[in-house]
Amino acid sequence: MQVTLENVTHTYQPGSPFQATAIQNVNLTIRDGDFLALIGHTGSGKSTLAQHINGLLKPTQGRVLLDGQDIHAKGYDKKEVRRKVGLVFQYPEHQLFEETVAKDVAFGPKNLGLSQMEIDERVKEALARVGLSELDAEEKSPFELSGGQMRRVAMAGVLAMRPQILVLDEPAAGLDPQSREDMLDMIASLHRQGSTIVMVSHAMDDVARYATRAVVMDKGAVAMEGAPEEIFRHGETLEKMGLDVPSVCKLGLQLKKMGLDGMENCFREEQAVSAILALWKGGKGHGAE
Amino acid sequence: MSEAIISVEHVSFAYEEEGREAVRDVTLSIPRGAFHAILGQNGSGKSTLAKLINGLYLPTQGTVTVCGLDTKDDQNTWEIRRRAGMVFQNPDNQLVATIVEEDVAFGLENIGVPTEEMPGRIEKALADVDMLPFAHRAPHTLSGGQKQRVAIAGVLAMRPEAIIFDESTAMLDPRGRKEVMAAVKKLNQEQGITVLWITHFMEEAVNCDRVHVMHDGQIALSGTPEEVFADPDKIRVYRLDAPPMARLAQQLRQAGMPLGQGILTVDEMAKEVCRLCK
Repeated sequence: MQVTLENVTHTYQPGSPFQATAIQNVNLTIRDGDFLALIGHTGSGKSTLAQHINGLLKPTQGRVLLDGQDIHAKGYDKKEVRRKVGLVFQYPEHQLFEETVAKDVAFGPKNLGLSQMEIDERVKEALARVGLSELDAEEKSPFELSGGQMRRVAMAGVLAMRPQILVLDEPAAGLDPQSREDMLDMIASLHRQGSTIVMVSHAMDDVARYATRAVVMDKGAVAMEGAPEEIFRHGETLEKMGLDVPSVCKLGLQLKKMGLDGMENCFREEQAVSAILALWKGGKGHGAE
Repeated sequence: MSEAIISVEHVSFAYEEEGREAVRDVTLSIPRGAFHAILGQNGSGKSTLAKLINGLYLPTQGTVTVCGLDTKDDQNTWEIRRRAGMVFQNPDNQLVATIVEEDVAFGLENIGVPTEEMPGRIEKALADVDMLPFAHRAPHTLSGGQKQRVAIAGVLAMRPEAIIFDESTAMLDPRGRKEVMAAVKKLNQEQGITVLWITHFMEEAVNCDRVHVMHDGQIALSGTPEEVFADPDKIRVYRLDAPPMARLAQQLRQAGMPLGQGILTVDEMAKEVCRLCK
């Protein structure tokens, strides 16, 4: 399955004094098996872009194609898009509302008109996929859970629709370090099990570690696209856009300024370890031994 | 030793009677002019502790004094909140007025500052956080970092001696976090305002004078950032992570590279690598 954005422009409140173009002429293809990171600072248009992928927002200009079909064309079943592309908003736990975890997760499948047996099965499966099998979902209120668990329940609600593409808008925002790592590991495992992932993120260390492809948004347009290692080679450009780079890249840039080359292609911790050890063994440190 | 502006002595607190204690026997002292950080995972009790210091909660056991005033005494409440202001997590929940300068004025009206004194105080407070050019803007048109700086100005206008930041950068993007952090550091260094910085971002704690790690309602570890992050494995026990450069340093040391101790920032790491490799 493939989603293609073709020259997509989105203007909020067109014709009003508050008219604002959030994204302009964006071309992007999301392919099966991608773990695509959408990077950009606040206001760069990445959330607007994310909401086009499942048809929640309609382009002011351009087209969004699902397997070649224009999803906004007359007669196209938009429910089909929503089923195939699951969107998890920022702070999705704010949207929990049911009395029990099970009911909350069942909300979407119920609306699909599935049988109770099928609903129960999907709820169970979705909770297992977010690592909450142990929870007494029939009894527990979502509001008795920790922040990280609440977010998982909200994600399970989306997974229960069995989407093929999962769009996540800053899934780890506001979580503490351990919950953050658990959340990202869980998303990586969904990816390994075959889901296509689109993740909006500010955290470049996470992008470096998990994404297979990255798109950098700047002022509503796609500024860069490529594998994380290609993107992070342009650390200085990213910093000019007000973006962070992985801390390892920062170190590489700093060392370069100090006249020490050799870390240009490092963006993950383990790469930095090997590169620095190579520098050390090649430098005076080793010679002195 | 300098005078403690915030003093927490054997404080415990439970949300309900006979319920589990969210804060257990915590003792903490913050000297005037210091910049201390409290780190802890969600649910470790760090926000509860902040609210105990501000007098929003009263200890079930022990004593909290702020500028020598006991939080348990009702008469002190307003004076404590003026002297030790608090900035919260969500930038959208703290601004109440429709124009930035009116928002800053809000607290002043509450404490009965004479009208003629207000414009000067508001102007200075906004200038201190570089938000003066935005004085006539509507808060909803600002970025998260800008909103938080307006919230800080609102506290500053009350001329506090200390400010407690309860995860004030948790909902901001990297640029917003940097803006807020820079503004707070400046207030601490130039005006001597005591800062208690509650966070779960390790990199925000590396420049503090002292770091207190909370775990399960207690202070599990206290020391300079260098001491606290010296052993990344130790900090992981509290479900926290050492700053990236401390982790990298640990791996390089394990591989035999004789790096110096106390590396927490990119600059420190770069200097050490240059020293050993160039």
